[in-house]
Amino acid sequence: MREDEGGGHRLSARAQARRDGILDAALAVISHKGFHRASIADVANRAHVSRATVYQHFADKRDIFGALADRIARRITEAADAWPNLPNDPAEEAGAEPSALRAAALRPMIGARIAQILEAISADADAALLIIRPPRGGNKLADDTLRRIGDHIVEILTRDIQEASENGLLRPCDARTVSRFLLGGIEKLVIDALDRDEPLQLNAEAIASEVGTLVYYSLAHAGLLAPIVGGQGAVPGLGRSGAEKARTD
Amino acid sequence: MMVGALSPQAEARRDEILEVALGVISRKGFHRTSIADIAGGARVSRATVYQYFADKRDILVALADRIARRIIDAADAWAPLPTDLSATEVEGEARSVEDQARLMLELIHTRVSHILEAIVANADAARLVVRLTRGNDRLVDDTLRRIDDHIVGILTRDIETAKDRGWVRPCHGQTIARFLLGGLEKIIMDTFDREDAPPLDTNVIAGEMAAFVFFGLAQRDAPAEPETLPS
Repeated sequence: MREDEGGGHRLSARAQARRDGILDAALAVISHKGFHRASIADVANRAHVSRATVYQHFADKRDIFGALADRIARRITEAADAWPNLPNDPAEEAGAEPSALRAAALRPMIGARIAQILEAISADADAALLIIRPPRGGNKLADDTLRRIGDHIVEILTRDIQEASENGLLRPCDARTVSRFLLGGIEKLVIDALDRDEPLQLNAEAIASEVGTLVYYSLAHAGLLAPIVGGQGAVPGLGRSGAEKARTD
Repeated sequence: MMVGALSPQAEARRDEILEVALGVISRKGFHRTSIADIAGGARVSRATVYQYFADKRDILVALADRIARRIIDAADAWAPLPTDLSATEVEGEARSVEDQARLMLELIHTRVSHILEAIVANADAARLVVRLTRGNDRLVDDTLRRIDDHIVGILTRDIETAKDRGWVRPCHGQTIARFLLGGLEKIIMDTFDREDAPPLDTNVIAGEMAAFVFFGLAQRDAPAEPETLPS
């Protein structure tokens, strides 16, 4: 084959591309026909390669499933790793009131993070669905994949929330509990959307907006927020001191 | 598998068999437990066990179902939201806004605690069901979904009511409800599903959740767009 003419690196880059192409084809076939009715021949046809080429890269269908799970885990964790750091001004004295500039940066940044996660998932919605509804026998692998993604994101969120609390950007809280809670909430919305065959692309914006707003108000330092008001619109505003009091109870 | 209502006596016997099954399976593991072990523990014949359950898996489904019912009962026992947070206290004075906020926070805390307590009270069964069947069993998945739908319904109604009363900022109630439930489920599932999980500290979790919900949803007096904050 012509590929043999290339050097080791070029060959592996090319092989990598071919492997990715086979995975894309496999995903399309499996999403269309279901895992159990999809054959290696179907995958080879779709990828315009021979069955032997498919077998060069994958031992069997289960191996393809594992590779698809691995690929989506890598894509989502890489998207999370590419998140920029939360706004932080080291020149600011510890304990100083957070500046309006940082407050202004916080809200869109929370929204952007949620949107990025949703994008990574919806860009690969077919693969995500395959992990959420794994074929028989694939449960353990799918669970491990979901856990790998989840653990990675909880770590990042915990670190972010801790730093931002120390910087006075977010209120004090148990960062790990809150992180797991946030991840669970986002997972729930995504899985519901995928499971109910709603088009996630259409919902991603609405989800990011609702969740972004919720997280912002939930976690932002009281100094950044407008006061809370009581019911019926007839009571005066709850000042910051009140919010702080309620918070420390 | 049971269709139709059992007599109270049969119900009690079925519950006892379930209780014994839970103990035996927790001790020996699901796969090494036989129906004979369960019958022996419950001091009934194997035939009696088979009267109530088709097989071991059916017992697992019944355990899941029982947890579901207890969680749903806990949610149904939630007191309705008060109609007026500023209602006068015993001293005859209207509550201050700070007190209203505290009341709201307590209300959310109580609701979360009720759910957590229902789960902690059934921790052995919950752990067993989650570890053995998570994602593996259509029936158990359906049970979990039933809990979900029920609680999302209650939460959505609460959020919409609180919105109407001006306590909660404008938001999409059902999306928020699903998000909140997902978060709580995550923490609970992790506790039962993995060895390295921290213990289910209901006080910490209820406290964090109550604060999260309260601050996240409370109505604020102006659109708090950070861009418009004075420097």
